[in-house]
Amino acid sequence: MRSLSQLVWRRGPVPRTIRGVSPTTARTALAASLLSLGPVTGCGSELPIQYETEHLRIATDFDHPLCKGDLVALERIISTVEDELSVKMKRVTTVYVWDDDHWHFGPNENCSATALGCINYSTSTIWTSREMLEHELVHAVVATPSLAPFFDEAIADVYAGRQARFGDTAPTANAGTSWLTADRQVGRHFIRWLREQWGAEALGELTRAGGDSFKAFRSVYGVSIEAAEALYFEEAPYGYPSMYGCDGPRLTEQSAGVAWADVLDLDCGAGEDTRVGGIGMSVHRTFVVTEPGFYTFNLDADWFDIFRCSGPRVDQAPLPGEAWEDAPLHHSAFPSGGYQHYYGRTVRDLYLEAGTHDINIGLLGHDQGTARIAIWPSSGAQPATPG
Amino acid sequence: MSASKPKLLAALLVLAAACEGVTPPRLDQIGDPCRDFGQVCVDDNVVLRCEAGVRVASDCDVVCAERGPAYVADGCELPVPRSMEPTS
Repeated sequence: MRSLSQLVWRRGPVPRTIRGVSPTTARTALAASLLSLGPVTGCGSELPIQYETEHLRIATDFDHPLCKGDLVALERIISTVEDELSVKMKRVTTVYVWDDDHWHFGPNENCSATALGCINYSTSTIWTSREMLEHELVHAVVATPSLAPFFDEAIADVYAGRQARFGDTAPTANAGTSWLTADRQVGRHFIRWLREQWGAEALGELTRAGGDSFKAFRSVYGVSIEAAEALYFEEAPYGYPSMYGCDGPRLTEQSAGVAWADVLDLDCGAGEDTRVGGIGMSVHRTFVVTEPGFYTFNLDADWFDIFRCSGPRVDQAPLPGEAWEDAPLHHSAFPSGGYQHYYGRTVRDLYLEAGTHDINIGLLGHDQGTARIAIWPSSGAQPATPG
Repeated sequence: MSASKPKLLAALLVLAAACEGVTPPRLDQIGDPCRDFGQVCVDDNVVLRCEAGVRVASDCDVVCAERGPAYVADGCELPVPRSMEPTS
């Protein structure tokens, strides 16, 4: 794991406000296109650089900052792609990021009329909506614009952290597809299956080979892509969770598997795990429930989000209503992960299944603060919070 | 029109098609691989659904029977409780 000591959190001037298109128009345009493009020619941007990390210079259009944990997470994606696919991000990349409601001002002006993000490889510049930031970042690390769009976009999605589900087209039917027509749901799932089936090293070899990965497939994997597809159809699971979920630190247990209490420090500017969440900031923690049942939550935070973690592969499609459980499985919503959002200091009688849970605990504002949390069986007594 | 013009037109069409890309066909036929819980009506009596990872055709009455005696087929709709059957 790369040291993040070189990461610098530096907030510059507040970016300019861009006006001219109504949010309704933006939403309509957003609904009309979920595209992200590859190489383009751009004409730059006036957003001032606000953050610098080892590999990135970042300017944003947001009304809120990025927290240090967000920058750590971006660098983590870069190091994961570099380590797994044996590629190297050779140049510092300049990234212009627009709020998802303003995406049309940036990507639209610098990429194409329907793009949510794009990259200019020759100048190492990304213009993107916030939603597509991680995706474009993977393109910048892989930096193999000759890759078949089906593989290029899918690799970017998978390493950006998107979930994957079995789709409605055959991978081989995507030979000859373009940025516009490639079935990205199928691509994500097939690429993730390749990674789990034969490892990231082979996937890296296929990636670095560039060109038509459909033709290069046999030389890397030793079987034709048609034979691989037959095996994929036979044994691939329903879905895969994000590569990056459910790996937060564990909450302190007060009673093994049934009660937890902890004090969490949130610091947008300095906390390596503090991430921005709209008008607030939050940290992820995990805890493992051994006794399913009703639990009570008490926090002095402003909100929490909770979901049950999937295993490394998801064999079963979500049941109707699963997404509305008190702590739903992460894969119950698609393409983003499922979770439930709760306000308030005390939330009683949430039903928790056995298994690992991820809880995202938030405070309003983007400064720093402390959150105390306690979780215990509703039939029992509240555990004492440390300190 | 010279003989080279049709060739040029064909080449441009091929180029345009390459830029736009082909659209892959959907896996929605009997025997196609699948993983979902979805059911698609073929007609008033048959639904396509995913069983053991393969798209198969099922009789609506069979689908209703699996849900229990309280359900009956009602054409190309979800099974409805027997108490909601038309009385005439």
